[in-house]
Amino acid sequence: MRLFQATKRLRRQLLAGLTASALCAPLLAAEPSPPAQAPSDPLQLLAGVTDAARQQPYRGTIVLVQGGAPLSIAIEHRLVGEGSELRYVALDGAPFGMQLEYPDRDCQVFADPVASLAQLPQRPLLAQLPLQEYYQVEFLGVQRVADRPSYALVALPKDALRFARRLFIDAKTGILLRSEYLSGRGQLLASSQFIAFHDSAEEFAIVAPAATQAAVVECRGALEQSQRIAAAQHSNWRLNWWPQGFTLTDYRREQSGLESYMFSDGLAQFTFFVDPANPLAVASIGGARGATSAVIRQLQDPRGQQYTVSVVGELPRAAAEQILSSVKFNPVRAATP
Amino acid sequence: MTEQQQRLKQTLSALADGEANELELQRILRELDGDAAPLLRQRWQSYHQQRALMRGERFAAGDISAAVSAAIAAEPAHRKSRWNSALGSLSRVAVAASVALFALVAVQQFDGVGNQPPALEFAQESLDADHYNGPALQFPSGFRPELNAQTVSARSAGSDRASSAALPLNVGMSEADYLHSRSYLLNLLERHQRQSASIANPALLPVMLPATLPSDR
Repeated sequence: MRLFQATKRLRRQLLAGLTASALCAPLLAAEPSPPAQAPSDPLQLLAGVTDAARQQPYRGTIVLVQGGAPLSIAIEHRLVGEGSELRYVALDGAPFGMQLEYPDRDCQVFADPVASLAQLPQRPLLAQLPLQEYYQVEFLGVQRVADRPSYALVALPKDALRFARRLFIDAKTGILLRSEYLSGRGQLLASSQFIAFHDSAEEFAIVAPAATQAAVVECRGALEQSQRIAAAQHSNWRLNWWPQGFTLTDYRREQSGLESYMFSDGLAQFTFFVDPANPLAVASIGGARGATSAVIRQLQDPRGQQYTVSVVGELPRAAAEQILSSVKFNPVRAATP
Repeated sequence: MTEQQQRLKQTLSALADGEANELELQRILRELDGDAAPLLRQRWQSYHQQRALMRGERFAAGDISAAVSAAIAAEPAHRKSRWNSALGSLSRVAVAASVALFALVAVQQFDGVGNQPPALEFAQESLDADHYNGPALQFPSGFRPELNAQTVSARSAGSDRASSAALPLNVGMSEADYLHSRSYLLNLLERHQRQSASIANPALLPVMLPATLPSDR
């Protein structure tokens, strides 16, 4: 009952905030007239965000707030041949830059339940996960973000295993301009948003600092992605439970032996780590930054080998703990005598 | 109205909405011992009546808290003894807290919302725990680790040799261990954020964070 009240109150607060800004709007003389037509389907609008961000040039400034001091980032995205390039640098603190090359801007990312190759054709795209089963997505109105009219959406979770989200999508380009995580009480936990945005970028104007990392983000085909995820079947530690709607989207194993299983429900994400090294001095530890919770436990397998297992994600702490408590030792090879 | 009274009024309103933090609750409880107590109780009641009216619900007539106080006062175990007076304000705070809680619960029960599925019981808890309300901001990096030195044993469901092997209990944690645990946790946090950003998630801006946030340095 209290959850329902909390959801009601949250919706009321969200709507009140928008009404207030709508009332103030006529006072702003230079307010560009927002598109009159509201999007017919907020889910479809959301599904188009990933493609929009990859297929259109833009430049601007992003501010990230994740529990600590805000971090400003200058960002540019330009189209090059079949692909695109993204460059961004931190404007606060130690100099840091990132330059990413996307060779294929039509790349499609698949969502994948624990995969078998036979299931390949039926797999949905990540952007097409049935969000409406876990969130109630509503169109809140048109609001100005970074001096541009944007569609405000709210995604209220249907359980308390995830956070509410408020998303502002640029009306002209369909690019996400602001993303917020809200607790059940409407408290803002973390946000990232453009504070300046231009829908053009020909040449990079940002000067990359010496501490710039470069990476190529290859478009992994469905087959390759599936093979990676199938490799996850070889791990001995398994999660036996996670909130409905989350699917395994990626798996990585590093040289140190650290394994990462990435899950997403289309809006939220968490990672399950299994680390055979790095024993900690405590049996369990937890913490949080912004909307990101982390819970870590030390476990021993029957041979006495110590493992550190962790769940880190944009989830309420209790959900992260519940996921981690479902970890079971489940040796793959022991199944055949 | 003095500034202090104004602030108290706002705090009370926040409490009525269930949005007051621990410090604010303590302040109200302190004030319940002072001169402003009758006024506070009256406001508390009127807040709830107003809210009930706005929601078109019934509200409890009369002052529940006064009735509860009277009932508590009549309870033999709570009569003043030497021991109780030694405890002094502590017991008063406890009684006041129980009154406030009871009033809140009693009023909320008039809400005409239907039953939620049992699966959501767990959910309420995490919402009400108010995900890192406050303490996180007291740390410069916005990060607050909690350590737990409890013993954890491996639960090897798939294995014949059910292992009950437990880790050594390690209560006294050294500074170095603490820092190691903290940096390990931060490392995972950042790794997770980088990896999530590399997956095309429509609800995230396309920014992979640096391995260590500048604000953590």
